[in-house]
Amino acid sequence: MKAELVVLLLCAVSYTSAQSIGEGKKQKDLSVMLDEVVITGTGTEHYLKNAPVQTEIITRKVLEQYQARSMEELLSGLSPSLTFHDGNMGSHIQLNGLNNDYILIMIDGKRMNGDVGGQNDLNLLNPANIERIEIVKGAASSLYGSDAIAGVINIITKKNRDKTDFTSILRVGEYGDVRESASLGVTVGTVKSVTGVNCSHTDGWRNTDLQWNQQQLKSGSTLKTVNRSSDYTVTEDLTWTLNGKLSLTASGSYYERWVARSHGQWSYLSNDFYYRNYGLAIGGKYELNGRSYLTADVSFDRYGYFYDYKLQEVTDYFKDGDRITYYPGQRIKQSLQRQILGQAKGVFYFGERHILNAGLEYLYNHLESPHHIDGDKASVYTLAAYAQEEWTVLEDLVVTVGARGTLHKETGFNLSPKVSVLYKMNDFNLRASYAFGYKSPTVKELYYNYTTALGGGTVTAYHGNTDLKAQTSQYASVGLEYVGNELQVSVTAYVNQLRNMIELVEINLSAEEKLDEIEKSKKYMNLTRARIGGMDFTFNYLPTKDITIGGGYSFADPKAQYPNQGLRYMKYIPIDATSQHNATLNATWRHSWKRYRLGLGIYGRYQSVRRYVEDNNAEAFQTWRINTAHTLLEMKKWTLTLNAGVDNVFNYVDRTPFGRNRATTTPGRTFYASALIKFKSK
Amino acid sequence: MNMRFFKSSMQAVFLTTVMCTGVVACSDNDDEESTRNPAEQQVARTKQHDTALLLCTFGSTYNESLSVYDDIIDDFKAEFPDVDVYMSFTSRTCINRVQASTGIERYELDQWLKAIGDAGYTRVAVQSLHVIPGEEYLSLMNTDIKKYFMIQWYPNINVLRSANLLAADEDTKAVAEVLYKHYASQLAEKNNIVLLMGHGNPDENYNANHKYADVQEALQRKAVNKNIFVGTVDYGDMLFWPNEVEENPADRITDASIVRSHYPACIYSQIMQYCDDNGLQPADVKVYIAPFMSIAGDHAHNDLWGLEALVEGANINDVELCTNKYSWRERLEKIGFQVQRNFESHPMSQIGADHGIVDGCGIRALGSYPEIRQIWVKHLREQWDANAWENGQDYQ
Repeated sequence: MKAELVVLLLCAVSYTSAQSIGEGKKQKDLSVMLDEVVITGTGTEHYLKNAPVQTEIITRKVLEQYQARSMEELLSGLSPSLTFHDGNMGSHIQLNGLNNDYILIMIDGKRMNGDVGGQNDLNLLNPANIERIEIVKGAASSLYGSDAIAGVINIITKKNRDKTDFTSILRVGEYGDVRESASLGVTVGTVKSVTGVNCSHTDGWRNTDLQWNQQQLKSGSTLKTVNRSSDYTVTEDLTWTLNGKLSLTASGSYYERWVARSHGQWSYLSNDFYYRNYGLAIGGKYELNGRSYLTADVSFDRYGYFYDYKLQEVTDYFKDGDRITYYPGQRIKQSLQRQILGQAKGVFYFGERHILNAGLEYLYNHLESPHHIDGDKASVYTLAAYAQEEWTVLEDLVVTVGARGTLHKETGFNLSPKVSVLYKMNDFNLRASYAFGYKSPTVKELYYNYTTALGGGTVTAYHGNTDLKAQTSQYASVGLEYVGNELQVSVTAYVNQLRNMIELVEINLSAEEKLDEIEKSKKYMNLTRARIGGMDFTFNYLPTKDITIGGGYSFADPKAQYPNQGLRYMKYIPIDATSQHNATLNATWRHSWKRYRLGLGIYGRYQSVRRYVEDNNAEAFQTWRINTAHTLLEMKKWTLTLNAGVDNVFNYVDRTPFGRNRATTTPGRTFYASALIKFKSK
Repeated sequence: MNMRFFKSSMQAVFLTTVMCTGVVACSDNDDEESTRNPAEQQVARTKQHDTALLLCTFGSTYNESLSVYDDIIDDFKAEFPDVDVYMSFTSRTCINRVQASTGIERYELDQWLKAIGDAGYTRVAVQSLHVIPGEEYLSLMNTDIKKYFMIQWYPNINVLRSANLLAADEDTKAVAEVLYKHYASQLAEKNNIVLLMGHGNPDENYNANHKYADVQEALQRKAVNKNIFVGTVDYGDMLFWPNEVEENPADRITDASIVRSHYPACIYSQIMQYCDDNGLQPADVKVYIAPFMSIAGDHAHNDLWGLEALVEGANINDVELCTNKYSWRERLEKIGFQVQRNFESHPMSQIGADHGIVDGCGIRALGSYPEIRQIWVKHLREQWDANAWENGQDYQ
């Protein structure tokens, strides 16, 4: 731990996200939105309407209007390509048919650390601290490296630009839902500070009392559809502007989460869950002549996942020849994931026509997981270098070419190139891109060596594989966007092909394993492939200054090969838990009187049948929400908005018994209220 | 450097330092994994004598097993009043499940043995509750008791090892006698068949599976119609259908004539042969089914009776004979036999109970017969009277 701290303190310089060029404009809402500055697609700042790579954004304003109870609800409610489904370990995100393994989630351009079963923990995000969310679909490994195969979700946090800036959102809903998200920005001299606090709690709920148990459908289940949970996050970001050229940043975050699991007949769950994360980052930005700049930063994150025992559990683990037993009240470590990320980057503007973005990255991942890895610990590192050129060939033609070379401890060298083209014809943008994506094997896939009988089943030996190659993909897309005064529409068609996908494959038992009475042996191997074709459509329409209509439709046909499927062995079948059609729609009407503004919003989401490899498909559903926003006007520094709304107006509830696949966890129609308070002093 | 710049620099450094130390100083509050033995407490509460008796079985999560285990414990207590009785489960799942749902403490062998050894007992009798002397039984007696407990851990404690149910030929005869008496009226009719499901030892090297064939033979000697059969749920030759456990469907045998010609010992071949020999059609035959296991647990409820399919009202036409996905009852009914659903079965009204029911299940297991329980007791009595105690020093 001390060594890690020293590494952090030794490294001096950093990064700052980009965004200020679009500030302070008073325009119509559509142009305001299109004048948002985005950074994720190219790593350089562009107005959304001119971005060389198609980028979807969720702005702070939309986020505040939507009044979601969770990050999942926010993302799935506002982006048609993002869906969430229930999994063993909670909620699983999907982007255009691929799961979290193939989605890179970043906070201010830095990959999020920590997952449980491959799922990033989105609960540690503070909605009040989010400036905007940028979603770039398709392979982006040329800039961001591993995992950016389905796409990238970049959460841009607030940077304080005022003397004092305070935001507080308190949301209260049924089932004991409470969330308080607050953010306080203060400027003292040359130091800017943003402090964030986010706490949330839910009592959880149960949509059915039926449960599948030993192939029988039983009533009286004590499981909950959504478990009771509480969490909080505290963050602090400091920016110190030394002079006109150099600024330094330091940030830290701390997060804890408790999930209680009810238990009783059918499921005697012996433990609750506990999660804990902290992160530290320091960095700096040095402005060169013109708009060019250099940034460098180093971050350290540590994510822990624990079992809080409430029942005694005799284990099959031994220490010094004695059997380990877990006792009620004990907190037992399941995994600790440490990540050190060092990035140095330069963005160079050469004349009016060339932008060069080049950088170096060092990533170190350490996994500690008692009884699950030989020696309980393992680590990998990668070193990467990338360069990207944005060349404005003609006034209306921008070509972006980039590549990233990554050196991985076990898989060696990988090259991920990307080329994208933006051609502007009056109000139309034509975009095309072709990119390689890649995902390096996880620490677990490389080093897992473990024997267990899951759920009292077959005694199986699992083997990591240090000979694994990276999973790779090729992605091609063509998109057309219309940007008019009142209407913005975009259509993008894409194909994504994945190779060398890593699967757990049954292998022959070794003589030693037979002697140890192991019944099956499985190893991670580069075995399967996937191919996804799809189309995304989004639009925003502002017929009058009071009305906004927006939405999107996403079609995806993701198919992959699966081993261990009997007669379907290695045939292309729909990827597990994917739906082909997803759509969102939102319509808001806002009208201001002298001292009062009323906002009415209707939000809808549709998801078609979710197809599963095993068991039942989850049924199609749609949910609708009505939000009313009441804002007091004519207060100079203060903004006060009270929201009241009905979520899931038509009371859709999926009452599929526990143990089978569900479409959604919504408890049905619920009422909520929230207060948004803002204070700003220039 | 002006004062303002200095002040703000100091503030930044201070805040950063506070933040870093604050965050880094936090501990996870997690606990060391503990090897404290939970069996010690139970032994401390129980210990009244110098001799312990450890009853060893695989265990069950089913509520039906509770009263049978209680009866077994009571029988031993009645016969050996001066010993403290403990019961061990080999299955960790069963230990944790039973404790969570009932509070009853079974533990692993190593946990009981260490707790007993440390508690000051001078003698430990170990009674197997296994039916056949298969892999579990030999592992218990040779590895856990002899190698670890006697030789490595407690060479000074005297140990008495007592055999499983079907140890000697006379046990086989005795069990057959009890069962024959129980089914006598059914066996008297030619158009009745009694089918018993044993567990079986999947590894054939242990040479213990022949005990089932011995029992069948002994029963058929008594039953003039030879209309009682013993099969297994987990051993190749005596399964309902050969290769039924194959996970790869392509490896399963689907042709009934091949089964009959190549696998005459499997249950399907035996009962079809019985029908042929007696000029019966399956539809003419009533079948009575029961487990040939110490308790009626998961195998009896699901692999034998197929209760889940009854709950769901599954279509008999979907049933395939060649896979153990379907219970014996379903496959028998698919062939056309009249399985006697009301004979010693689980009450249909309580089919959905969590891991069976404490009272009222009609399924009779071997441990449900007092006379059969007495065979285990007799084994220990004989060893006891022969003063067959030994300890680790005898092997040094």
